[in-house]
Amino acid sequence: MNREQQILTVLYEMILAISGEVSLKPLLTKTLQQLLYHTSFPAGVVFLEVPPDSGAEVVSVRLDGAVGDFGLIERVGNILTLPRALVRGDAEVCEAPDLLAPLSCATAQYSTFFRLPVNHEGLILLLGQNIPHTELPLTRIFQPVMANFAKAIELCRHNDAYTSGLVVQRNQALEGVRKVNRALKTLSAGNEVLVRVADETSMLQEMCRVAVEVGGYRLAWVGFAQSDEQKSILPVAQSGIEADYLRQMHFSWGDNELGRGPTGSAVRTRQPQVVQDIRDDRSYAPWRGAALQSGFAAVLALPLLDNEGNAFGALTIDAAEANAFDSEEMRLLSELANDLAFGIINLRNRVERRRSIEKLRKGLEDALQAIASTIEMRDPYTAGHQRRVAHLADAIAAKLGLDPERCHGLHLAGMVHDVGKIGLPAEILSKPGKLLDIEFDLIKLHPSIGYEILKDVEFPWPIAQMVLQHHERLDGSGYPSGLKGDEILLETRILTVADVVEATFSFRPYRPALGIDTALGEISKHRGVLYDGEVVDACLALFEQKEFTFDQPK
Amino acid sequence: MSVAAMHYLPSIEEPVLERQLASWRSEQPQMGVLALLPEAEGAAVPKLQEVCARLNIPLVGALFPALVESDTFRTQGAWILRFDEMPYANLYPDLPRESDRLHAAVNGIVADITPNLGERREVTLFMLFDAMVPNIATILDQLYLRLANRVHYMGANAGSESFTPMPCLFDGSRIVQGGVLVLLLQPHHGAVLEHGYGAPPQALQATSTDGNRIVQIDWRPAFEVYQEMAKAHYGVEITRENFYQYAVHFPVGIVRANGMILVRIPVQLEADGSLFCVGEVPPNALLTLLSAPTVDSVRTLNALAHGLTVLGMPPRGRDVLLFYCAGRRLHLGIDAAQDELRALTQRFQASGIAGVLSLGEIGGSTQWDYPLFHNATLVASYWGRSNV
Repeated sequence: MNREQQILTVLYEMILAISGEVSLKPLLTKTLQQLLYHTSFPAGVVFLEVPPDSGAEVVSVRLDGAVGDFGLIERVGNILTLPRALVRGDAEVCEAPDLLAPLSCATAQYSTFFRLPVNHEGLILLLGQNIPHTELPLTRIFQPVMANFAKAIELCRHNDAYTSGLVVQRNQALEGVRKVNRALKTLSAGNEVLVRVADETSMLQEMCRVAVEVGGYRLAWVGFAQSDEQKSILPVAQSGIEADYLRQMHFSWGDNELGRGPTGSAVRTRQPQVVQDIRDDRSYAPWRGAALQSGFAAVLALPLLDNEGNAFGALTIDAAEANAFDSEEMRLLSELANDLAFGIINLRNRVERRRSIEKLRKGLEDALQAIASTIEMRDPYTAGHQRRVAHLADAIAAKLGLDPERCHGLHLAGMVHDVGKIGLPAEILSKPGKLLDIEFDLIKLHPSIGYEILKDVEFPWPIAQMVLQHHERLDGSGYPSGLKGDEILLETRILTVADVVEATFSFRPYRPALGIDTALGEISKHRGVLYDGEVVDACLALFEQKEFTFDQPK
Repeated sequence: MSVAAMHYLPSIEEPVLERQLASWRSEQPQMGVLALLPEAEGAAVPKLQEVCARLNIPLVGALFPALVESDTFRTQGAWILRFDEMPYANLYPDLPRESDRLHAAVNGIVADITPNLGERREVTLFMLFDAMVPNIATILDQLYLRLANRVHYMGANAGSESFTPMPCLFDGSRIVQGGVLVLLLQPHHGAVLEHGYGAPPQALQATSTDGNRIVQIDWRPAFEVYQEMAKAHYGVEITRENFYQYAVHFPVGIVRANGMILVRIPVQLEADGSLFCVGEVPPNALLTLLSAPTVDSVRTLNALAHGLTVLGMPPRGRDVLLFYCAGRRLHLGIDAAQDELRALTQRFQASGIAGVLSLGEIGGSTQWDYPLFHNATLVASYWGRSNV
């Protein structure tokens, strides 16, 4: 291999090393490094845009890269003013300390340079204190490298532009994902609020809190459309800033200046309304000053629609950055508003339904009370008996851990358990002394009569069954059907014990009041035989622990 | 700094060592020590650490294949070199190989160094690498990109001449491997590096390399071409069996555009026919096969002496720190190398020469030269404050 071939091979190596770079900054560094390595100059600089020659003695040119000189590395990107004789000219190795003065500093004094033009616009200067020893014509051999370097610069510029375009696209995509994630998190947390919260005020407040704390929005508030003359919108819940902010504001859903902002328009048009940049949106003028002061930049207002599609209010969300809401985020937040509206309507319907049920129940209970009063009027000896049985049965049931609804049903059954006596002659009911068998047989009919009276009334509880069974006994010795054990409703087993205790405790036409000890002795004696053992125990515990006392029988 | 700032201990005996250090410390209470030991004395490192710890003297050092004491190679004893004031020193073990981690490691080294640079112009970044670190040239390039001309660059590789991995860098409490010991000498004017190898006309291209390995030359297995070149130009038949005997005599030269040669000594023949060198070989580098007769010792020594003069003053009457490449000694042969040392001693007329047999060297031919990682060179520098 002769010297020319060697040079070509070295150049080939250099070109391959340089062309491995795909970005401009590393390309400049690599090229300078390669040139320093191959020439033994200690430092080098590169200028990519040398202005056309105007004949001036000095040239202002931006320094695009430097290797080997810390002072010059720190000046990369700055405009340097250099002598024309240094910048202009062909490839040259030259000793000229004066020309190099602008590139020298206290820490590096240069006396020699190696100038390498790059096409017609660029320039590389290798700098040193002495001309490095070489037997080769440096000024000629690097020309092919410089030609290749010029092409590599173009390619790297294109690639950098393309890459930065990709970076912008990627950042946009990431921003989109971030926004959608934000909206999704808000939606998910909002749905959790709908499931968890049982009253409207808390629901509205929680939803606003979620939008701000989970979603990261700056302000969220709910306003309800009013039917007043101004068609005003009244803020009813908010989160994110001090309450005073909205208190100072006025909103309307009418077609007027205060109604043409996003919130009013959302209610009026029943469509989501967005202001991506409040600084230049004319419709936002009435609120702009205060909003900017509070750090808002974009606003999204979402209508709250009832089942008929009418807007009864709006959820308004303010963000700190302009163009904060993209289409996917708006879609998800609209879903949140729809869920909130559904939650509000649902809550309101639930309250209404509960009221109706309460009313109905009250009507039934009033009717039962009327029936009870009727029987008590006919039978003064049982006056108050049903009421006291009801109270005791209720207490035993609670002691046994029955839920309040079931206890209440038992209470009502106790109130009317002797309603069947209405069909018996009053003389028998109030007869002093022992009843004849035939009279007792008549008495035994009262559970069935009571059942007949109540069986067609629709209660949420088996009241007619309880009335029918309340004289059945655990061992099957009761009447009217001789039911045993579990064939008898638990409520009835409780009612039976309460009935026996109250009856024994109280005065009867055929005997005096026997007192509570006798009453409790009676159920203890027949515990597990006539009466349910657990029910008896609960009843005994109530009295022993003084959790229950009868009021004075009449 | 007096002549006594460089002291050779023929054997490492605790009382002698302690006496010498205590004597120094009485003159220089802020002193520190750079200890250079031959690999055969590796077991003495804990002893050195103990004595320095006892005397509260900062210590750094490294193990090399051998020492150079004036004009003689020594495999016993130790050089202890005194810093009048201990400079900034840091030991970085286990340097990474992967590009990203290496980048971070170099950034870390630069971040550690930078606050210690001070305002002085004349600062030398003195690096002692474990020779088994495979990417020293890359590390050097990265350091130069960041520190540029804020420092002079000087260094050498430590370790075993058999290239067996071993902990070879130490400070007062640790002895590590796979890393670098970094010192900031200031004021210090750097070092001069020279090898005196000429480029023969025959040159071929490394068509495939992988860090320190030359995989292919001229698109053929590297060893095959290496064998042909040795046979054609020097009439030597190199086989797998005699590779280790001959390879050091036929190092590879990387030709630069200015005709200068960067020497790489093959130290291992891989099973796939690739040649493992001390120091990286750039992809597509132009390679040439060098041989002993192409070394010009006289030119080398003159260049070194001239270089030292340019650094500030002629070497006569000064203390000189010398790194003499182990590969060069193998290449020249022990007698020729010994002759070269004697010639250097006579040429320099230095008051003292403390040196080691190194496994690769870092520096430039002149001050503020582009720093490179070399093999087969001599690196000379002044030691001590009065000599800089």
